[in-house]
Amino acid sequence: MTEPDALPPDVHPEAALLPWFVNGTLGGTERQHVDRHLESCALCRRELDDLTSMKRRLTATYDAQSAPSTRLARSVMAQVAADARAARDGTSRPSSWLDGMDQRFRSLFLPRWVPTLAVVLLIAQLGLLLWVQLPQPESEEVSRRSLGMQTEAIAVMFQPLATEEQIRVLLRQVSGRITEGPTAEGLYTIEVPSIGASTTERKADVLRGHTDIVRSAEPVKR
Amino acid sequence: MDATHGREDGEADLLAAVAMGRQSAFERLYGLYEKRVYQYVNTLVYDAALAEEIVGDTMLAVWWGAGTYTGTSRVSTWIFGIARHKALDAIRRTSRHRQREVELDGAADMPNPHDRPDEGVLRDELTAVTQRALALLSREHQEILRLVFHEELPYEEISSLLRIPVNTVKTRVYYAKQRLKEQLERMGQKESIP
Repeated sequence: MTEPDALPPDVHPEAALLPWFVNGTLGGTERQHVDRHLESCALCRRELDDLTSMKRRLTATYDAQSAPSTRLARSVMAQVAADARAARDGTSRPSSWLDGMDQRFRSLFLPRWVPTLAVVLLIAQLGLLLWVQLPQPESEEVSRRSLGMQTEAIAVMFQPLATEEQIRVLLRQVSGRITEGPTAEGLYTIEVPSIGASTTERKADVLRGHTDIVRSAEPVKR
Repeated sequence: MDATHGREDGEADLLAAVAMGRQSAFERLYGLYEKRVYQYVNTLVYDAALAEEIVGDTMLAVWWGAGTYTGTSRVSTWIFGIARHKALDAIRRTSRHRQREVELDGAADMPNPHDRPDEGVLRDELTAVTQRALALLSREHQEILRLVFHEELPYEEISSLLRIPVNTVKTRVYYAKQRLKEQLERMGQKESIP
């Protein structure tokens, strides 16, 4: 944009204040000064008329412009509600996004039993490592290493504003877990227990039903 | 006292309640600002989906940062300042923005960035013409007209929000109004709203 940083020489300095005379925010002294000037200046009175009708016209135009989708309000309110719940549960209210993340992470370590649990897990891991290294008796049978239940995959794309908590709850509903992703397109692969294509399709329907969390969900053909 | 002074006091009280973690206060503040911030951001980014994302980020920043509001500016200036910062950041990050300095000749056929196929029906022809004329202005001119005539901000607040001298604010509004008037005259819609 190229425009002069000064008004044209034939324009009165008072004319530059008229937009704020019209929007009602001009301070007392300046307002009185403009008032006095308008009494004697027909040119500025015409400019004032122009600005007044332009304001009405613009207001009508801005009012007719589109509003954001209702999904946005739902998503923001859900995040605020989750945050308020966390605050009520004992963690103080974060002053910024980073502080919020920091406090949520720290809150995981607040309960006193957490250090004990960590030690128990370490010992269990150590035991598991030792057990794996022990020589195993040869078996002639081929053992299955799967969970014993057939699983199917669903390719899912989440809404950008969906929270981790919302996704976790939804995955619990379909007994699913993320096994891969995200791809460059933002797709995740979710593994769900299934006894056939119809079960998988039903689970994909459940995911699709949560439009505030899931943008798309398609069963993956194997 | 200006016309919007009382409204601003009420909004400052709302923001204070938000700072104390009151969800109901946030919901009211959100209701007051959602559409205004969305339209303002859309003026800057020309992308409805990106604008929604920025509004979400802005309002969450208001929820988390309400306690940092010092009261030295209006609540609206503070919120629009956050939105503007996020919008300019998004423009830099995504490089979606293209400078809208268009040649005036032949520009009248350009599509209106605010029109959507399903929402493009505007209430009357006058509004539609004004919408098209606005779309032909530069981003800076569209922005400043909205801040003065719709948000009704004082020039000092606009100067602080846009980080430009007060004198530049005054001249920019003057030339923005001139350009809009020229566009409307070119479109044969000189008459004003009755």
